[in-house]
Amino acid sequence: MHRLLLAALLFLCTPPALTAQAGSQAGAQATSLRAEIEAVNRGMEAAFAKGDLLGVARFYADDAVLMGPDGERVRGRAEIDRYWTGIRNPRRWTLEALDVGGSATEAYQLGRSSLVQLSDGKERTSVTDFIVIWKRRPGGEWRIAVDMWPGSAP
Amino acid sequence: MRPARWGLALAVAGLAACGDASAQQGMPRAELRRELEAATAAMERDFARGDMLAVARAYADDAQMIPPSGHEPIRGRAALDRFWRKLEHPRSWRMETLDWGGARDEAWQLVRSTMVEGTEASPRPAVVRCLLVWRRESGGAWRIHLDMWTNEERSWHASH
Repeated sequence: MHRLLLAALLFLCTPPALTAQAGSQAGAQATSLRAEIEAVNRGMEAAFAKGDLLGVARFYADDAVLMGPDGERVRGRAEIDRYWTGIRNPRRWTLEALDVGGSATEAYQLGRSSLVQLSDGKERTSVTDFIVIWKRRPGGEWRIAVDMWPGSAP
Repeated sequence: MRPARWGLALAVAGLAACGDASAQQGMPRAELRRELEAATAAMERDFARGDMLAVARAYADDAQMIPPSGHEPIRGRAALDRFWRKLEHPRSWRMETLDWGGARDEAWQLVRSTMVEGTEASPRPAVVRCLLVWRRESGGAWRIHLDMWTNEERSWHASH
């Protein structure tokens, strides 16, 4: 019995088995992480589409920092809420996950944002890439800690 | 009796090795900062002595740089090398860590970058904020995987 247990342990912990196991675990973890982040993105899009901009703002941590083009800076709960509720006539928002990585508690997302607003009766779309740093709260929810977007072409 | 004890010791050692593999996911925050700042300090030194190819080598072969204002991203070894070698008259570069995080093999760093190019008579400083995503390569070295930056101040075209 002990020998069998020992053989099993040694097999599991030999380098090739360990590497293969770690590799498949890492792959599964990456897939699951991407799925989790994409699910949060869907929540942000849904809040935006129904005009719940405070709901969008709540996806950011209270001490998050947003860095837009040309020195645009937004930091902390009050500024983040003001920033998002200041967006006029929201129509829809699409967030693509181009690259997601990190751990179970901290992740990065390189994405593309296509945000549509109504302006003078016409739809206006702003497209920009972004990098977001996500942190998982003790309750398990992901919240944005850092959001940078370099803006679209002038 | 002896083989059983020896077997038990091996089993314990094996479990400890398995345990180490998962413990390596975490990393003390201060140690992570030291490692990332060592990497950025090497980039600053390479820049100051004009070794732009060495600066480019701080980026992974499949890295991506994403500049402001919708300019085309710079992707891959050849484009990264070309981008950095195009910079003429490098003078000094300072990268100040504003925030950082991550784990043993993947990390991020928010920096304020002050880069000075140009001749001694007419130096051109550029201050930007960069968000870097780092990955540790199999040899242990950190390489930049993503580099996005925004201007620190309003640019001329935006304010006119």
